[in-house]
Amino acid sequence: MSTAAPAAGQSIMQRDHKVYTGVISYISHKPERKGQERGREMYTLVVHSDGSRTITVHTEIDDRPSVHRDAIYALDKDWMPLDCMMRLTVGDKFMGTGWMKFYDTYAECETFTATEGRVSQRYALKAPLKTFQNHAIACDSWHFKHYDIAKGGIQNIGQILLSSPDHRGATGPLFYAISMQLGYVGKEKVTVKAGTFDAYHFQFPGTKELLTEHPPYEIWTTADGEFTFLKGGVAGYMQTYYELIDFKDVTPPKV
Amino acid sequence: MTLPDHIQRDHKIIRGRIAYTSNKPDRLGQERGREVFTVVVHNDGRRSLTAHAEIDDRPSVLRFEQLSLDPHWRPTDAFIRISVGDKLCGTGWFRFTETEAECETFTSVEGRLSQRWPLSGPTLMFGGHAIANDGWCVKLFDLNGPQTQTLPRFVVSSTDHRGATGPSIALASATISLVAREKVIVKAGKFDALHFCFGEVHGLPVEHPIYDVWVTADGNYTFLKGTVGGYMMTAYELVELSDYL
Repeated sequence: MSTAAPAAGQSIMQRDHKVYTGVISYISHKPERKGQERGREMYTLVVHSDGSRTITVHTEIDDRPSVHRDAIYALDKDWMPLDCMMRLTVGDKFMGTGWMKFYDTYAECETFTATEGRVSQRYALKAPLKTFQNHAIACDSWHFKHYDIAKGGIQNIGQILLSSPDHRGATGPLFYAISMQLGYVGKEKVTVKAGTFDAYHFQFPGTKELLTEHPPYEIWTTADGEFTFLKGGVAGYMQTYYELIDFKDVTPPKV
Repeated sequence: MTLPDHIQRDHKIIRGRIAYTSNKPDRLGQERGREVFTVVVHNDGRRSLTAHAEIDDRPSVLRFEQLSLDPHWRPTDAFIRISVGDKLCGTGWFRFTETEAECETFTSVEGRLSQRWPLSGPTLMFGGHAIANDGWCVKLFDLNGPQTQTLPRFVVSSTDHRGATGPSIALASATISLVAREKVIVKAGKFDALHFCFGEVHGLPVEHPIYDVWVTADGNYTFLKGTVGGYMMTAYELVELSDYL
């Protein structure tokens, strides 16, 4: 039984964590579809009292074949990846489900995909992984926690792992390694449908380490240390725009 | 609404919120937890439940669950991540085939475990302890059968009443009764409902108190409300429900 009597002076209730919910809209910037909604993402973020955090994100990309992705991703207090569960549906058909666990010297992936079947991967790491790319837009902004703004310029945060080399994350989930380059433009005041925020403007300058080169990707995150995704745009053939349209602190009141 | 050819929206989404309140005399009506869930129903009948549950009673339990079913409502895979007392308890992934259940898990007590559990046939349900998942468990009841039935054994992520251990594979079953078909009003609206009562739950180390559950009678088995007696004295109620797409 997990129940326990509270210590003297302790409330019977324990609400030590914080909870936030958000919705991100995916909008096309292609001339013939300008402004058309092409997907959405809904998330719940729990921040524990020790600073560790877990997010559950449900993503829908409507562009045929559609992509549905569920990710439940946990970071420790230093924003280093702990574990991630992912489940993918492509064209409304099952694509894959997997669980990834990260340690100081290796990462492991237990997965079952429609293409590869049951696969166990163990990936040796030269250093603890700073970040993991699960393809949820809400987590794209978290990579920049490891960017040193004081230094500026293009920074390489080292080897990272992706759940898929596909630009929409629509394969696997299976590990794929790249090195990640990050850039910084400046501090700005940003207004999105969810509100007005002090923001950092960052850039992914594009990478040639994927099977197909990813176009440059501009991202604005909150400047409050939480690196909450506010808006972003991808150029090139993708011509898409993402915007935080709803964000709520739904932490239950302390008792 | 007709969509352009390049847009594919073949699925349906149901989102809901369940309030957990106390029925104890000294805490009557006090909110003691909450759960938000999303159900995606695919065009071929497959469905996935994603739930985030918070139990405030010390030590608190935070649970992330995802459960996916095939078109026949048989579980294909699941994921559970739980924190107890605001500390990681465990994170694990389950997969089910015709002949076995497997679990890859990491818990703060046991460390890294791989479990493979032979089954004599496919497991017919998974219990991950989200209250919305409880509603799905009564799908195992044969509405054309006797009023009281012992369900076939199914896989659960924990034998703790709050699901606050593991996650790992355990087997459980329950004897449940169909009490009545009723019209039910909850904060989320008015529904045609099936009222079930969980009597004995088999396979738990500690006896679970009687648990009454009301689910929608529309075939989706959406949890509407529930009450647990005995030492738990708690109530659950669907307070929001919305359809998307």
